[in-house]
Amino acid sequence: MIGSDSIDIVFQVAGIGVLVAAISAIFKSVDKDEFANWTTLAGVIIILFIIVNKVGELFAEIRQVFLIH
Amino acid sequence: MKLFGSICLFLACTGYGLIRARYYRERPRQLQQLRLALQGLETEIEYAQTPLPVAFVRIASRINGPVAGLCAFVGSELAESSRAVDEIFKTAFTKFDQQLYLTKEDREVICLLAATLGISDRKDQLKHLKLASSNLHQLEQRAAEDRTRLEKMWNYLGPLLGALIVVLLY
Repeated sequence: MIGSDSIDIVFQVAGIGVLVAAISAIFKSVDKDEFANWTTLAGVIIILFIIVNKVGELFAEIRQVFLIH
Repeated sequence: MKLFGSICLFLACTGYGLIRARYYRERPRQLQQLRLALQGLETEIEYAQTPLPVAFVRIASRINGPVAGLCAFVGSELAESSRAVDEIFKTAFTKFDQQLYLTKEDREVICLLAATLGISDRKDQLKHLKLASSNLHQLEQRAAEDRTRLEKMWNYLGPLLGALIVVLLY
């Protein structure tokens, strides 16, 4: 059941990944390593938040399929 | 509508980055102008023995940028009012706050110097001027170092942050 909505999420996560990588690279190039690490961590958390919803939906669907309520 | 909002957000973040970058670009330049002004003041005091109000107005005509405005303001205020020099400098700094890209530290150096101007003999004033000059020189070098790194960083960081927020909200 892959609709255009779920493909959008893939692109969104990919975009965030690219931008976070770029930002952390910039921080690293100006010797601000701690900021670079924080940005990476923030990116991971943001993406996790997006994905957790979808994973929750997945589990709900699995339950429904096997009729575990 | 969504696209329009995204573009606005992106441009706003880019603008913010450019403004922050301008702060790092302008600060060394203004510190240099300030140092030139102090050198001018040094000559005025040492060789011409000009009264302070006249000296400041003369210096203002010699340099350019916001620092010139600052000097002109201080000169005219000195001629008109009978307040202490450092008080006048403080009001001048608050008045030109928007145009000056100086940190608290930079202002502190000038205010410390201003407290000694016009209340002691020539030699003492010149000593203080030299001290402030060398302090400013140090700050200038540090500001120049910051400039090479942080100006570029903010130039890139602004648009990237904008793009990140747009992607997050889209």
